[in-house]
Amino acid sequence: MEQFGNRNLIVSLRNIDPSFNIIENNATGSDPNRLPDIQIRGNSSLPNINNLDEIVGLNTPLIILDGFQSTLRKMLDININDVESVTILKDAAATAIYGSRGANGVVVINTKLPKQGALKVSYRGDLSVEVADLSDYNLLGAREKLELENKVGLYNNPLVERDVQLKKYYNFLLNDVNSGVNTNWLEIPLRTGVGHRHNINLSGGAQAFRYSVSAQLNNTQGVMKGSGRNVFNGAVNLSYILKNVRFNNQLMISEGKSTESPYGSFSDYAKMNPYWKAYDDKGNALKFVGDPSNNLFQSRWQSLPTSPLYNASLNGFDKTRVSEIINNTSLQWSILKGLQFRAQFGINKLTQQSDRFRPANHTAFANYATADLFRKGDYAYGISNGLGYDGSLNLQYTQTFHLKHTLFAGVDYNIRQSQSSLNSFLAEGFTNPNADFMSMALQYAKDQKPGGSESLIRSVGLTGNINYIFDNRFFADASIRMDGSSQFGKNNRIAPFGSLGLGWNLHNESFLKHIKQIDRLKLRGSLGTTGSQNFSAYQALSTFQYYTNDRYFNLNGVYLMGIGNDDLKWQQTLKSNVGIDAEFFNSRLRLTADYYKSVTNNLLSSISLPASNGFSSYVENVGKMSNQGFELKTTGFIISKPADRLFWSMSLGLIHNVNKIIETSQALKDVQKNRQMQTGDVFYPLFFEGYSTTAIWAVPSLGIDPSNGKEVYLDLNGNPTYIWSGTNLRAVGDANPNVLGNVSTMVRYKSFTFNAVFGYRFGGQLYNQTLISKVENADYKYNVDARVYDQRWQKPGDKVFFKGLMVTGATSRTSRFVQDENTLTCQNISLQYEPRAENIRKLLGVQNLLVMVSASDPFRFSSIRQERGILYPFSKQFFLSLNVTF
Amino acid sequence: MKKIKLIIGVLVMVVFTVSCQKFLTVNPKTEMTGDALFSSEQGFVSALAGVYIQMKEDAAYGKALTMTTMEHLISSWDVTASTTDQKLGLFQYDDAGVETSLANIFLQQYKIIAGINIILANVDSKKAVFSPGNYELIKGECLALRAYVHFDLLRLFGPVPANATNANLLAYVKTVSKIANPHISVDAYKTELLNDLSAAEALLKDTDPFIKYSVADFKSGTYKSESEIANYRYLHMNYYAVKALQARAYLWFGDNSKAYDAAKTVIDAQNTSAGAKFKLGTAADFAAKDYVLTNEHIFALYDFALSTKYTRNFASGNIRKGTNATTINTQLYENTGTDIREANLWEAISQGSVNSYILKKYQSPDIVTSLLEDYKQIPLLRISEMYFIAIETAPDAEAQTLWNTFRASRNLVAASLSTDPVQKKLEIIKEYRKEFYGEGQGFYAYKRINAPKASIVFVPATATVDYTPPIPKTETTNN
Repeated sequence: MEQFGNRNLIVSLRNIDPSFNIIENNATGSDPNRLPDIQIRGNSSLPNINNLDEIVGLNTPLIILDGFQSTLRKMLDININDVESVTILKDAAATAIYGSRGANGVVVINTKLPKQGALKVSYRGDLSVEVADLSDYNLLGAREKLELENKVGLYNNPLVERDVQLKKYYNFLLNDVNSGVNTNWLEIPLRTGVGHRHNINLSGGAQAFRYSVSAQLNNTQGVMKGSGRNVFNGAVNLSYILKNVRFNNQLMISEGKSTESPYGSFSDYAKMNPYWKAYDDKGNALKFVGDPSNNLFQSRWQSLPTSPLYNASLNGFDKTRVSEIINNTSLQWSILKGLQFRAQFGINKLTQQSDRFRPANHTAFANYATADLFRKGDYAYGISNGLGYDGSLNLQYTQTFHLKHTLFAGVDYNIRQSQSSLNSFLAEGFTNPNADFMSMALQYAKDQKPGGSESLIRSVGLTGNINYIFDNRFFADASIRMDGSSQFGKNNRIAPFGSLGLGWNLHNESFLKHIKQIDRLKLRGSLGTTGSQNFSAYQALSTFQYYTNDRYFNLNGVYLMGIGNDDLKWQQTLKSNVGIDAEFFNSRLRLTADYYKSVTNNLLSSISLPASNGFSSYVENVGKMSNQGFELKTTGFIISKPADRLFWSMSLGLIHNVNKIIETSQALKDVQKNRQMQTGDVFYPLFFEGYSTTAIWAVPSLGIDPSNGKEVYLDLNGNPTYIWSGTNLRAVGDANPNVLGNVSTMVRYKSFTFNAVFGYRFGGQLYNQTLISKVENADYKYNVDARVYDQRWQKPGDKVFFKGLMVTGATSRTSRFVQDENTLTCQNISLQYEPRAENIRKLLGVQNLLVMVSASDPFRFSSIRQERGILYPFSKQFFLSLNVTF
Repeated sequence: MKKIKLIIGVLVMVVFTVSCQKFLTVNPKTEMTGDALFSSEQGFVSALAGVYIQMKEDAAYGKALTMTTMEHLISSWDVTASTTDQKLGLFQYDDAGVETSLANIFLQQYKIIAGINIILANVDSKKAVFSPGNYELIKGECLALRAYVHFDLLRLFGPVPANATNANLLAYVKTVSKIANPHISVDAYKTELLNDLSAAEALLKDTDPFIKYSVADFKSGTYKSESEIANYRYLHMNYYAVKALQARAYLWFGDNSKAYDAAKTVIDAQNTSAGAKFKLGTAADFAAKDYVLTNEHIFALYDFALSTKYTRNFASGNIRKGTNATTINTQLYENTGTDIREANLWEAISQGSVNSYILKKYQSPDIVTSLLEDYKQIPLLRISEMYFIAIETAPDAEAQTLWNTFRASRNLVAASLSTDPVQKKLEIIKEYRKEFYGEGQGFYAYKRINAPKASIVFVPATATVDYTPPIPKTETTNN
């Protein structure tokens, strides 16, 4: 695992299995406090009309930690050293036992159980160095920027007195440039983040009683100054075995603190003009930039722009504290030979507190009126609590009859409740700049009330499964699960899920047995249904809410929030899968291939109602979506010389997925009409029948007319036009690549192991947001992409990619900015040194030693040039790790 | 062994199915399920208050149905060229902006009806939770409100009564569900509406405290009930409001004698402490700055934000008629010189270089020391309308007497009322327009008698009068 990455479990897993797809978020880059978006085998849910931008959250896979449902955040923070195994379940047979929760795939994480033996102590330390990757930023320098401003006429005005002012201001700026001002704003908020991680583990015990204790301190320092994540993980694992009863208890606590960079959003620096000074002569951060210390600027700026850097010099903060306690208890009782009973109970308690303080002189309050002087400075406080229970009873029976027949049967009963609440409020008026304590506020925020939300979800499930193996040649398994959840309508709360699987070990057949080259050849297929639960807790209910800001004379009122749906039922995904597992030449070549198709029926979506029903829509099961594709993973040992301790292996992972929306509700179509017609540099995913959820919708473009610098579009009838209209949008590309995957190689020679993982994506498209927002629709008041300067149309006859500098009117979604994306990323490189145990023991007196250096995301090639990491830059990370066992 | 397994299996199944439904029923904390809400009288009262809140929202009687959209239809206010407001006045129902503003009214009205229906769906099964009399009050009010809102939908989107086709146009909605409601004929609609009103009348006749107590009793606290629903009845759909609505509806449906009876019941209503329950407003009321004439209100909506609304819309000059008194005085009031409305209800203001002539009807002090001075009410039914109904339907002699009473209250010289029914109607319609300016009733008045263009005050020369806006697409396409 560690050879595949050192950032966190999520990234390592992606590097090993590309089907665990992290969707790159261009806005938040490598922000250590931001949860990644994960998807397995495509999107299986569509968002509803009121949350069109939240498709990702709906498709997050289920995460099971030691048998209980867990979260993506836990997966980010978990102590990798405690993890024994991670399995990604994708097909119907594997996910069916998770029934209503398995549609998006399941990640099963098991932590290490204590092992018998003398007290063993191991330590692992990592040192990480993180640097920002700004290779995709291409901004103008001070002189060019000022010249551009002049060219587009920012310093001209028909009114003579204004014109004179503007010219004077221009000269002031030019003077600064001539004196050498050329601030690289991008570098200012960045740093080289040096983080460290320490892990210590004790374990041991006798046959009957075993224990393990681990503690980890993980300090991550992001590349934006001051942003970081500090997590402490502790775990105590006890197990006690008495005759045929095994008792196990595991306690995990984690305490995390994350801080957001006081420097704010990275985009605020990217837009700063390089001809502005960042500091005054004494080296203090300036509050206002481009200040000529008189009123000259007024023709250009109403009020001078503020510097984001100034806020970083104040004592504000933005931090979140998370503490989590998980306790899992299990009891295993071998009743008879082959019959086993298991009871499990887990509790999970989570507290999260967020604090954000901005002192009175923060630039956010710079434009407050005099009357609001005492409202300057604010403190936002939020606290959320979560408590979950999860219990299960399980009975398993295994028996082999007449040597050839093996039967395995099991019943599982599971019950869950999860409850969460959030309360928040905002206080304002911090007149004393050093007072950062909430009670120092003068008052609560004007015209605001406390915020918050709450949810309670309960579900029960009963699963039965049966496996049968004949002669180690034929396999059959079937499972059925009854699932109930409070999230669905009262007439359809309980729904059945099930699966059927078959397998055939060809290599055990007489006709193949004698072929030496084939070590394993298994055919398998499965079919089943699963559901998905990533929906709001109370969507099926007709509920009333109190008017909090209105009443009727002497009476408080309530109103009906919407029409509930007692018949609302589970969204069901029918998954089918055929695959092959093969091993050849003494297992030197391994191959796993799968072809799958999944169809989600009964998608939850709003249905429009006639106005006379009093509400415009309600939630119903309507809509259908499919995903199909294949996955291939192959590993070959090119060199395998155990005698010389030399090994070389290569592996390739390849995924192809096609997503298609088959049916959507009318309400979804209607609500998207607005988004379709919007102009400017907006870009929305649109969900239309017959197309993928990741399709890129833009108006086809014929390029720039060399005679006048205007863009020529194609309308739906194929006629050229200068007029952009949302009705002419077409699917001109797909962000989902044709193939994606990874290639990795490992060389081991004696005590050294070298490992490299490359990820690739081919055949997809991207809508290049930089070209539109930083070039064509660029706001010349602020810094822009260098391509504005030299690649735009200027005079008749210019055959260029960008429209004329002076062609007014914002460019809207056009196919001109849809570009092919072919990307190769080096995801991880590592070199490990692990001397032979006996040598070490003699030399250093330790049991085991391992030293590793690694780099994550060190380089990347892409056919597309767009700014990456808008709000937070992407980073490269380098590690030095040491692992010692005493 | 097998037996044990079987028993375990059966037990698990039993536990699973029995406990399941209960376990899986959750109650949100920031919201309430219907079961939780309607488990107490308080819940019903809150739900009913919610209905009144929705009625006083801008999309309904808070603005669109009283001050703006309905008045723009009859060009009561100055408009800017090619705005939705102007197109409303030109009856251009195919304009997108006009369509949207009417569709918003339509949806809001049915939303109010849904709020009423959810109460009515629970009120009978939870009869036990009410203290004596309150079941009748709440159910009666709900039925009457349902009729009130439905009636306004019919008056706006339905046919002109004179040439009523019996097409299936609108739905009379009595349930809350996701099933589309059938559109029924005007006759069937009328039956449903009148049934709701008689049911409401029967429920309120003996229970409404308004019968015994006067508005002053409620305001001063002489009458104060433990049940909040029984207080301030003039702000609720009370017994007299039911009678008044009956008068309005019978007149619309052409049943003059019933309209007369109902109107007379309200005009003749006496407080136990003697004196008419509802008094026609006089110069004294205007002198006391009670421009909206609260003494005349049979049923009004109380709006806390009315002063703010007035400042924002009227006092700002946004809603105005002309730049000075000329237009209003000559065309609306015909320069009587004595009419107290002409003299008191309007004001010329100027902001910078912009002059406006504005309606002061909704001007009211924001903060008051006594409820008696609190005029933040939007009238939905007024006694003056009952006079008009009675005048139109009474025998000639009585009509003349009532006409004289009304004219006297407005400080107009006595005048003889035409005995020609058509002439008489036109004369009364003129009075409707003066009386209910900015209250949204003018359009219905013209529509009821299918008034010719010449009789509509302020109608633009280019307009082609059309009293029947189409049913909004939000109703027809999703059905």
